[in-house]
Amino acid sequence: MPILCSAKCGQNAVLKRPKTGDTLCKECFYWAFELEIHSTITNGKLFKKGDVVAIAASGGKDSTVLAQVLKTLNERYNYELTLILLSIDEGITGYRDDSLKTVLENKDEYQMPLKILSYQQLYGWSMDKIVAEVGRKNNCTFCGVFRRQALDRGAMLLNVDCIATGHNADDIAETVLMNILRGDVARLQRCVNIITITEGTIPRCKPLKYTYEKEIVMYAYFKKLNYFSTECVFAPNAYRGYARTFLKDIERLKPSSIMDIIHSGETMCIKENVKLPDIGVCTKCGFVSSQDICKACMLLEGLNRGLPKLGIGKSRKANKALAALPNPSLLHF
Amino acid sequence: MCSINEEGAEVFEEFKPIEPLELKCRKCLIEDGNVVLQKKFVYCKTCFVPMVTHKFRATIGKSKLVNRGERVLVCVSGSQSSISLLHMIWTGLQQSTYKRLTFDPVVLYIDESVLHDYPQDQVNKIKKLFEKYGLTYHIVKFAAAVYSDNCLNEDINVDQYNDKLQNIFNNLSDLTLKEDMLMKLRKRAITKLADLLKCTRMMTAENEHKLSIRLLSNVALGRGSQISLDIGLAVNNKNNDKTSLVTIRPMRNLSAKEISYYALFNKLDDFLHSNFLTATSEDESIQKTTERFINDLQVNFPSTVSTIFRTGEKISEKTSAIAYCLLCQGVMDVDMSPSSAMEATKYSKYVSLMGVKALKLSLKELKNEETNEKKCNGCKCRNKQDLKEEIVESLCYACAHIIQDLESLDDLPEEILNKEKDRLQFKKMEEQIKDFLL
Ligand SMILES: [Zn+2]
Ligand SMILES: [Zn+2]
Ligand SMILES: [Zn+2]
Ligand SMILES: [Zn+2]
Ligand SMILES: [Zn+2]
Repeated sequence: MPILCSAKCGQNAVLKRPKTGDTLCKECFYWAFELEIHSTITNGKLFKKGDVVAIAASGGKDSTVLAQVLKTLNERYNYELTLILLSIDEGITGYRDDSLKTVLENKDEYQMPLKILSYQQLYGWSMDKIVAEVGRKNNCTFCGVFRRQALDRGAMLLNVDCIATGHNADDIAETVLMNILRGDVARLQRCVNIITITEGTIPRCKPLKYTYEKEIVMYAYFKKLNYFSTECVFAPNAYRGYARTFLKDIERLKPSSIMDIIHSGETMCIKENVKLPDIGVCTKCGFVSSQDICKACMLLEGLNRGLPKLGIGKSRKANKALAALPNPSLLHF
Repeated sequence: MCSINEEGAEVFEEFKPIEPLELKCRKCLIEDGNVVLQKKFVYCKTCFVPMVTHKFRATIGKSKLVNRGERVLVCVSGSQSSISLLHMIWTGLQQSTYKRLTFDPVVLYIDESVLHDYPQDQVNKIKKLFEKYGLTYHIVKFAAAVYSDNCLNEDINVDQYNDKLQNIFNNLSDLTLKEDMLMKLRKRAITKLADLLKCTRMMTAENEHKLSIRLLSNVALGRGSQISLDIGLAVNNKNNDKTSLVTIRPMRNLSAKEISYYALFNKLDDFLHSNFLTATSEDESIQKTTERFINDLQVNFPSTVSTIFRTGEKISEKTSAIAYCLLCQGVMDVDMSPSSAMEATKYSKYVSLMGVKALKLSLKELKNEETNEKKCNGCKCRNKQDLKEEIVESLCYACAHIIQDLESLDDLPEEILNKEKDRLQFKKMEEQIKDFLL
């Protein structure tokens, strides 16, 4: 027997929402999905009228769906935003080639301007070159650290008001867990913020913060959206892999777990007497950093000086090693 | 996207194979080692026990948690940890002069045989053990402690209470919530007994490993704001306004391994202590899934437990909190801004029911519409639904999940039902006079 759509539209349901368990027809699911993001955007005051917003576009499902939904909502509810796709090309053979093709298709489909910036352009090193230098064990450190700044640098270059990233509810919940596992309370508190505003950088926001990954896949599936799906071709981080599996396990037991974890993150406070790292700017590149010299510059210094392990381990050790080196000139790009 | 996101680089100390063991004790350098801790520290028996005892003493000695002559409720569940705690306290009381513990322990064992099968003679064995130590002790039936203020009276008839308690757990379908409810009711029972026994401190025996599992389960259950309450060293129970009851966890700096060697060297027998997860598999409850997750990580990353534990040390409850949960006494964590996971979840439920209409109608109107549909004249079921909704309003986020899963509220402890009535009464009064309050 067909099940009716729980929104009482009269249609038969075609899916069960992973988030709430409600059965919905396709149309009502689109509404629910889009309205929720609309509500996240308005309640979280993510954008102002007239803002120029860079969508961090990786060609993956999250950013593809984000671009599609932001375009839809922008038109439907008159956000009056100018949307730009911003892609970073790490220079990984076989990884970005295909995903960038997807981004290019998105650009045509959504008629949004696209800017691609490469690690080579931004840092003078592509990931392929980095892997040749450091091997496959530590390269994810490089690609993560460099990507964080790459978006900031790219957004600065494009002179946008805000960066929207495709982080979904699963990502946030996973990050909450990871920060507990590595004892990083400063990040634990920050990672649940829907907008991150740090002095000296362009604000970042997460319109999909409360959207389940499974529903993103569902939306892309029914809308037949084109996206590129591969994990990083390099060895995925083992520790994060455990956290992800754990999250999937408990989501299966209790679908609300993802939201429950985010709720936990939103209600945890750091004790007053806990010393948090001061956030300042890097003395070399001027971007935000909790250390005198930011991680990206540290890694870059290591690469440029033929000491690629510099900066991978404990920061204090690396700082010492750096201090021992003759002072390099400021980095420009 | 790459599996490592932009949050930053991750540096974890991965397990490195051990160098060949030095076989001599690292403390006295004379005796052969009997214990290896953290895969590298070797101790002989004679040096190990004082080392563990020292850690225990240091934990309670910190910031003068217990006053001279203060009555301290010592909760013994029968687990190895709790039996060791009891032994450490007893040993401390025997010591001479300046090293002696000076508080006045009241030992408590809660008999949970109403919920789980225990060997028939377990209570007797525990009684014998307590008598051997010669300390003041009480053995109380769980159901009596939950439902009756007269629970210290040994002649009390517990049959009706037993039924009620069993009903509560039979009316919860979800194993995760069942276990969560058990923890909360246990805590209520202990808190009540501490009050009845005029204790202002209570000690429970959770070790580092257990507390780190609890921390992560708490996060998974939405109890993030209650972490310091549930794992902290000393927690002021602010809800208890007459006496301020402080929970102390003196074993929290000890590892499970240290405790089992302590028990072994002192020839301490432990007892069966069950809960709803005993003999369930790992993929049936969030708590056990969490336990497996932490244990697996611990194998490859030996600092996992202590890191999680240290994270917990840095987290506190909101200091601005004014209200506490009726069931668990944690801070109320449901007054959230519109931009929050909690409100987003409500909105999800709402749009799934409303579809396109969601834009026009508000949540309130939906509720009214629903209420009209549900109404069946004069029948009792409607009242029950109301009562549930009202009680949920006085509960924290996670406890609300439990009560929503609970089929019938009839068997909740009366204090909860009554307190809710009081609160509603007060709200009504306030409503009536609000225009005249300046
Ligand atoms: Zn429908
Ligand atoms: Zn990578
Ligand atoms: Zn820098
Ligand atoms: Zn020794
Ligand atoms: Zn509660």
